[in-house]
Amino acid sequence: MGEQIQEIETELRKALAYLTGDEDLMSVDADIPFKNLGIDSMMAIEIMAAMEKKFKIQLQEKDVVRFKNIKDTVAILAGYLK
Amino acid sequence: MTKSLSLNSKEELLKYIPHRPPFLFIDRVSDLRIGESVRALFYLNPSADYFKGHFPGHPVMPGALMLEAIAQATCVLFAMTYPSDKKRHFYAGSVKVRFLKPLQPGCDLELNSKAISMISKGGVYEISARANGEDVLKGEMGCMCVYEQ
Repeated sequence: MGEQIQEIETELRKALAYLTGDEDLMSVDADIPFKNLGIDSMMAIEIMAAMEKKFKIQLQEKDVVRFKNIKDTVAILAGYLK
Repeated sequence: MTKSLSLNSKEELLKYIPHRPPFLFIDRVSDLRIGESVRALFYLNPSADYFKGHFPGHPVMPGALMLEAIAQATCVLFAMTYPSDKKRHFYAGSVKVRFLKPLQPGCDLELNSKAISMISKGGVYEISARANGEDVLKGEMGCMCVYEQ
């Protein structure tokens, strides 16, 4: 489980770094709110698309609304990969 | 597979999107699958104003207008997937695209958009366009929908 969480977080950080062009997101604190990292609602939908494609899952609209920071988003994604 | 719907007139189209001539770049929708995909058609009229200036003596459809046409088709897909009485506005949020061939007037442009992910606030779509049996554009587009309060 720990390895899977780590993999989800790494893939999420890669997607965030790609979308924002900011490599610092590979190591930024997981509790920092997305809005403070310059991640807007369009990017949240793009993260949804990237994670669905990567992990072959189908997220719900209510999940995207709960994408508040890296830590919470990883927890939501992990719920689909149990 | 989801049922295929079509909108065969501009009057039908205009019920679903806010765009109006001279900034309407789809003529009809030939295949729309709610929540999934749309295929729309647009005839590149040689007398269109944008061909006069882009470029004199060498008319080519501006790539930005091809993207706009696909965005409008995507807008129809979105509006039919998420019907709403609220006034709303549509915006392109991100585009990754490769233009494969220049597009000259006088042909029918086929516009395709397939949802990768879509929610009531927007979506990410795999997009493509074809003309004269060839691909002219391929890429990905993210769109937002903002509802007025």
